[in-house]
Amino acid sequence: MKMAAFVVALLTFACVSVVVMNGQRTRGTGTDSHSEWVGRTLVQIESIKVGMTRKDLQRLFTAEAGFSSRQKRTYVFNECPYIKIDVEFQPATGPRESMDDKIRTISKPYLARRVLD
Amino acid sequence: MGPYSYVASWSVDSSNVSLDPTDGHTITATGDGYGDACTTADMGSQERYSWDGQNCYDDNYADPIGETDCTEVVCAVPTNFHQVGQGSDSGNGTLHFDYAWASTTGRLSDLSQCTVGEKVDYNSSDIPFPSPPFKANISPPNPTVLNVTGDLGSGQDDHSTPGPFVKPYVSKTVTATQIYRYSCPCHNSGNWETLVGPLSIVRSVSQNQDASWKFTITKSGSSATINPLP
Repeated sequence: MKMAAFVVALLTFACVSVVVMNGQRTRGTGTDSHSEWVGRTLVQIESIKVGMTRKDLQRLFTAEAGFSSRQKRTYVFNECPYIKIDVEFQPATGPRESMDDKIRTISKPYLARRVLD
Repeated sequence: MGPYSYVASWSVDSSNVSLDPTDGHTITATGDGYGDACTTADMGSQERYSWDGQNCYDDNYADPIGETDCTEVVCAVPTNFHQVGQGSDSGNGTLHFDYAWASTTGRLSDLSQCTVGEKVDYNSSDIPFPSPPFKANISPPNPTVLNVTGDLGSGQDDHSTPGPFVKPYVSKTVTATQIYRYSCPCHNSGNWETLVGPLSIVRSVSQNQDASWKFTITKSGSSATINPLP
């Protein structure tokens, strides 16, 4: 459990550091700024709702590499690819993945290594 | 068999199949084991009578009313796993593939308990990816294991490489080994069976003749490239 907490803290630090290095919104590297960034990120992630489209999702997230299906795919947060959600879709018409596919379920965000495949 | 207008009493001659309920117009037969099983719907009998010219008399013979039908319980597994079309370059050095498969029973829905997926192994010496030329600290899960449910009958696979690439560029190749595989609880105790592979996923940074550099990722004869690297 302590190890899990450490990993979460470490990855959060890594993500925040990337944002800082990229000159984006976060100021400083203290615990407060980390918390502030995570809090803001959660609000952004929670803005994605069931019934929205794949296009809506891809404003904030990028499809993760690897083997997947049109119906279920893992997405990584654009600002930090270690933050992921698993999303299930109701396919729109047509045989291939579409930006009009509707979100059916969204997992809670979680941290995991980046998949390249 | 069925449905019957009369309530039948159902039975089966093998433990390969169970019936629920055992009385009714229509019942559900579930495969519990593999092999033949004959199911009987018994609706009693009909007494046979004759006419002797003056009276109706009982022939003392009853015609059974019912039906028996036999079937074989089989384990459905994925088959004919194949690449659909050519791999394609979807930009930023990402290589995309589509795949499809079928069920040995001809019905994809029979694969609902099966899992189809991939396993990608990297050489431990390549983790993290050598930097330069790759971005620092690229450490994918090793092995990378990703699955979808078997009854979907199709999947897609994207092979990406996080950028930006790091200067000074040097020639370097990272090769991963991939298999596609399935697992069905009714087959081989649910152990994994390889469908395709091993396939090599080759990521290379190399120099062009004009001294510029390029990144190429290749699998199954298809490739995606960033040329030249910035």
